[in-house]
Amino acid sequence: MSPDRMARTEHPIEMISAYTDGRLEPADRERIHEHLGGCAACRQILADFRALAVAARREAAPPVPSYLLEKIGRRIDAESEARPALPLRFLPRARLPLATAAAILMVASLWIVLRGRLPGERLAEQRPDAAPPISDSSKEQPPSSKPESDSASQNSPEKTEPRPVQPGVAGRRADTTAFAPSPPASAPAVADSMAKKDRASPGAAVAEREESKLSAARPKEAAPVPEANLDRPNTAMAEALGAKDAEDPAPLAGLSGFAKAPVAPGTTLVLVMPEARVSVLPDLGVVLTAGDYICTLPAGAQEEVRALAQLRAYAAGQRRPARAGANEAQAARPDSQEGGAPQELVVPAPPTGGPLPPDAAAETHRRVWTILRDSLLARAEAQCGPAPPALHPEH
Amino acid sequence: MLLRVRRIDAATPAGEEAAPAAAEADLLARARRGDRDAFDGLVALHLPRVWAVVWRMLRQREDTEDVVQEVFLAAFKGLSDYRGEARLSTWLHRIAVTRALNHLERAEERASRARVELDDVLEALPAASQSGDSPLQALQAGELQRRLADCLGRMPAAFRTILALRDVDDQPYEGIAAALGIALGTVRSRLARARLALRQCLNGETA
Repeated sequence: MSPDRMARTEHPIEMISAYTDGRLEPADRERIHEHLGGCAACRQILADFRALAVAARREAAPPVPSYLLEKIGRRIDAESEARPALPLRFLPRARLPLATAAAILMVASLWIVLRGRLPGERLAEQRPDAAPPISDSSKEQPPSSKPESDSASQNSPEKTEPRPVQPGVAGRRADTTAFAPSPPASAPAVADSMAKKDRASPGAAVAEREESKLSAARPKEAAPVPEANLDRPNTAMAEALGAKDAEDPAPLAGLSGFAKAPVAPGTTLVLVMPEARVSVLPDLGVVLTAGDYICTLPAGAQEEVRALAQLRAYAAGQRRPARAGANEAQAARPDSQEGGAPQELVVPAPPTGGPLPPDAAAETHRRVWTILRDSLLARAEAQCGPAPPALHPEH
Repeated sequence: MLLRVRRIDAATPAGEEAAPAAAEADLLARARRGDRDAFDGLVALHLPRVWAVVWRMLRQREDTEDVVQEVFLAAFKGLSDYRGEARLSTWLHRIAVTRALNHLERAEERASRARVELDDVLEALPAASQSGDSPLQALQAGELQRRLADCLGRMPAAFRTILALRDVDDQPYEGIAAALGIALGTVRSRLARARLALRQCLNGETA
């Protein structure tokens, strides 16, 4: 209370109120004690304030309507239905974009597997000499001689030469000389022969091949996948998918197995962008390369790319919708190292040239890819400074 | 539904009964994993208190229903934001107060009632209201409660809200300041004015 008001009012109401709450400084408390001792009106006000507080506490709110609990449940259900199918709401905020991407891609991928494949999509062929996409620049040149500045063509992966999978060394430290400029519009590193085979029966061919490859790559029971480097992505995905225990009769039972399915050691994961690619190297980290821009990303990015690749691999091996039984989900393991040959799992760039195909999968693919691209790019720029303008969405 | 809704007891006016910690922890853990039934259980545990908090601020049954639904919907969406640093009941209380205030703002109750300059309200109080003459102490308990409910319902929302937060919810000044977005000094002065206005109303005086 301001001095003016104190002067105008007969009694120090504000001090009495604060005294009721025990919020007076010792000096003020002494003053109010003195004042109360000589002012019956203030003593009455103090007594009234206290009585009112007690009465207010005693005042019972009307009973909760009996139907309200159910009404709240219905409203939450309605909201859930209007939102993504997976309970992403429980994700920590920082993981929401990833989780959103993962959930969307999960649905899309399953749909894609059942339907066929996306235009331009390939899964890296498992070759005996397949290796992480890191190589000496002298070996990295793609067949295409298309100039890097040809941004128009960069936006259309389907028009560019596929990027061959180069022999590499998974354990090599990512130094700048180890990376070649990324070719424009790097299409997934898939042999052309795969695409040719696909033309006859695209969906069945891709699904069959992926299933076959994934089945062959499944870790044997007697050889459990080492937990090192696998816990974090698996934990992240378990959280991302709200996965529960396999025995839990949850709507996400089909995803439980997936969440537990690790990416086998030695697998290099690649997110392909039109102007760049991100490689997740076993034990080394995440590297984004775009021309001369080479950035080793913080470990967090590894989770994102690996999680996406897990999703992709799982979806490729999963022949049933997401709510299939946990057994099938458990069986659908992603790539693993076989015969000592490192593998590459490619998350292809969506087609960006021209109008999108009029199906939801392409649009979903584009959205997921965009989310991941933005996330990874932000991490790269935080770590390594501004990325080439060509990588930015507004470019 | 896992748990039955507890009725608000007059002896525990704010439904302050502490939720069984273990049961709540279990429900919370499961809810964070996406278990809807578990979240329903949390709703059942905390609904009475949230209801009481919102009702004391709004004093309108239908509005309270709407806001309470909003509170739990917001909690459902934002469960990931709850880090366990405060008790779940505290977190929900915060959401409830915020949502109730938003509702008041949306309904323009603040504009029409609470926007009245509080200083003006105090200035308008007749001198007698600050006197020691008060029949309040002579009121029977039932009559006092009846008048109290009536007066609180007619008070500016800003007064009603701060009284509910302090006298009923026992929030510290700092918590009230944070919830209402006002300074500590304002909390103190507004509380004094609200109490004075309530006392005046109960004594049959008109502001």
